[in-house]
Amino acid sequence: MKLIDVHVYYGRWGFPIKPAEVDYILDVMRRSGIEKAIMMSALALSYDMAGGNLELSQAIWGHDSLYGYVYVNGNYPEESIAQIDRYLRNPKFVGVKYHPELCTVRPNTPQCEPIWGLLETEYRKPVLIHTWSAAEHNNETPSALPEMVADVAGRHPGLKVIMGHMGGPGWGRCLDIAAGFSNIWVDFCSSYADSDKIRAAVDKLGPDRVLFGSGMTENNMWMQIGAVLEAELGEGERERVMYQNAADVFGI
Amino acid sequence: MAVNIIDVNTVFGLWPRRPVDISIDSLLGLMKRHGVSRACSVSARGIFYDATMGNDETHSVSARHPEILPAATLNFAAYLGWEDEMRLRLDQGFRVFRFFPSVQEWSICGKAFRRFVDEISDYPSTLLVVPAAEGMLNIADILGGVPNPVIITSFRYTHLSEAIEAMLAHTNLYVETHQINSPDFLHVLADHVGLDRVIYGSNAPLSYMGSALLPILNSEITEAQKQAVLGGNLEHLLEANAQ
Repeated sequence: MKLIDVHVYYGRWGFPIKPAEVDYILDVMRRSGIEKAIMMSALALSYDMAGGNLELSQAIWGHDSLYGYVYVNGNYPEESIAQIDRYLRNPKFVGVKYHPELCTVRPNTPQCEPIWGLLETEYRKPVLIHTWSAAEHNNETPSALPEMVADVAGRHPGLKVIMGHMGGPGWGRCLDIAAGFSNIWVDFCSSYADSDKIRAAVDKLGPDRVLFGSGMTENNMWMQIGAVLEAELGEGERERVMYQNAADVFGI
Repeated sequence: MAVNIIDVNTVFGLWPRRPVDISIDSLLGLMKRHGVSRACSVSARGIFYDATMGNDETHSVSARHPEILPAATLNFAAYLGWEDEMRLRLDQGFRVFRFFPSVQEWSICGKAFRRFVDEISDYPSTLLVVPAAEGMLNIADILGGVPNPVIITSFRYTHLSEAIEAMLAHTNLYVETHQINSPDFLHVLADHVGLDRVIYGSNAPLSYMGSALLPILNSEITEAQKQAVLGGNLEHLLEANAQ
């Protein structure tokens, strides 16, 4: 069983959990068969974009199996572009992460356009955008609906867009939307292990556009491994979902 | 040592909100595949349509399949006849009652449910299974301290702190595992309330059974603790029932 995990967090969380350092992540990867992990900074997501990206770059440095996403914040488009320019030339950083619910800026707003345009035309690296079917974090209105992300994908056909969490509990609608765009991939990590969702993703998007993500260190790695092993997939499909699709999308 | 796995949270029947196979055959197949010896299960007919018809179905299925431990349900929005339905199921040997307030549009804060709690207190060996969506504070206020064991299902790590506080305040409260999903939730619960208050459940076949099992099987707790969480704790409650 070979795995590439495209959805791994580094940092701390505001619920009862012991801090997870890089050694812990490497140990879990070794025990669970994860060959490579692409990580994002929880500090950057929740508070300090630049500080978090820097912390992540230092954490993954020297570890061949660890890669990073540069986090961008729609409230700070110019600074976000500076972060992209700083990190995406580094081969350890293989994509960009955006979390619309945490920064409360929809991905399809004009202020985000220069970020997506830069990624599409210059860096040609994927963006992982958090998607969810409702407002989160006590926000009054949703900012991460799948159709908002699809809007970005439609206006930037050369940009590889990954819908993180596959819309969460609303994954069925997410898949319906994603099916219309050949430049959208999904990862299925969430706390909702609906027993038909991985098969449905492969049926609607094809076996090449579904990626394994665990949500570690916020989530339990074994929950998603249990899901992908139990999903009704052919062995070729499972190998693509667990490993090859991520290798192709990220070039790792 | 083979682990005796008992699943406190399963369902069977049809699921009108997703095209997913939750037939009893599907559930039994998953149990066999994952080595689950027994599963507490409730008919989805009782959730979505009619509690009495669903409980009849659950009773019938458990008679045909002894590995299915029957869970009854009551609908306090439908209301009429719930007292007779409760007594019928107790007489039939049901020792687990499960509730689905959000699907049926009622609340455990309502008067009818509170009266149910008063009545079921006379049957202290009956287990009550309630969804965390009703609110940890409500669950603690309404069900904390009753003589019955109460198992709280379907919450994520974001509610773990409140679950711990509720369990610290009331020793009859237990938690079911399938959705907690943080990497070290078992360790956190062990440190704060003890793993004898933690009970494995999967929500299968609606959810992947393996997604609920692997986090426990691969956790770094002792084998004895795994056995307790995966079946021993629930078995102990059910044996107490039998007595």
